[in-house]
Amino acid sequence: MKKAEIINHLDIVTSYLLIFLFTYTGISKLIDHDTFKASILQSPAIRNQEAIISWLIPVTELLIVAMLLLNKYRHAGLVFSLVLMITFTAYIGYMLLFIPSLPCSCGGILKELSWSNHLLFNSFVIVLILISLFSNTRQKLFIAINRTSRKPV
Amino acid sequence: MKKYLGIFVVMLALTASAFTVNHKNTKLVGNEYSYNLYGQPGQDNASNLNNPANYTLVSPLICPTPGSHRCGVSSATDDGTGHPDFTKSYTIRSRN
Repeated sequence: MKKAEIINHLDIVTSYLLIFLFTYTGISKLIDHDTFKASILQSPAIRNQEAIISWLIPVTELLIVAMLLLNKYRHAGLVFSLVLMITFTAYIGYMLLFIPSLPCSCGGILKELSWSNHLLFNSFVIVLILISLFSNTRQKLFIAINRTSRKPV
Repeated sequence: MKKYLGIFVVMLALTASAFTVNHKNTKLVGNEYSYNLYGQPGQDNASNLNNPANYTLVSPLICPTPGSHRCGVSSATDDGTGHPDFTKSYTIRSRN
């Protein structure tokens, strides 16, 4: 596969990666909701909004999954994923700087990651989304035209 | 085929979460409970500390730095409603 082809399909690959990630973490947070709520209660920054946040995060993740699954809303889904990942990363950064010894409020196997590894993982995902969004925008600037019919392919 | 790949990925994630998530601990003894009032006003009041309703069943309980404020209890017996039974033995966990 050519480099250009890989870049062209990067938004799709990233979408599937995000679909897996958000379904996995969203469902984990819902299945193990009590543990998720308890870990929010131990985080001073978000403790007071525990009731709202404990539902808002998994529901948002699953809504983004729905957007990513639909071709029409894939671009918007990627943008929302970027916003969510930046929010998570800012939260992790705050925790690392000010409250170093607290449990992670994330779902499933991801809570086994250390805070710094989590920061690295999130940064990687953010870069991947940014590249996908950029390649997606570039794709829209060039339209393939059929030589004979003169219509877009 | 491509159309169903998204659904396949969702199913894969659901299967993965079913295998890796810590399901609620249903055993009667040796449970861990997080103290919901940790870091809040009145956290050290005896009435709050001894109220099982202020505790949530978790797995695992994480209290990394030993300190003076209660953050949960471990090795506790469940009272049947997802809260600790303080009439049985338990270990206090604390951190600053």
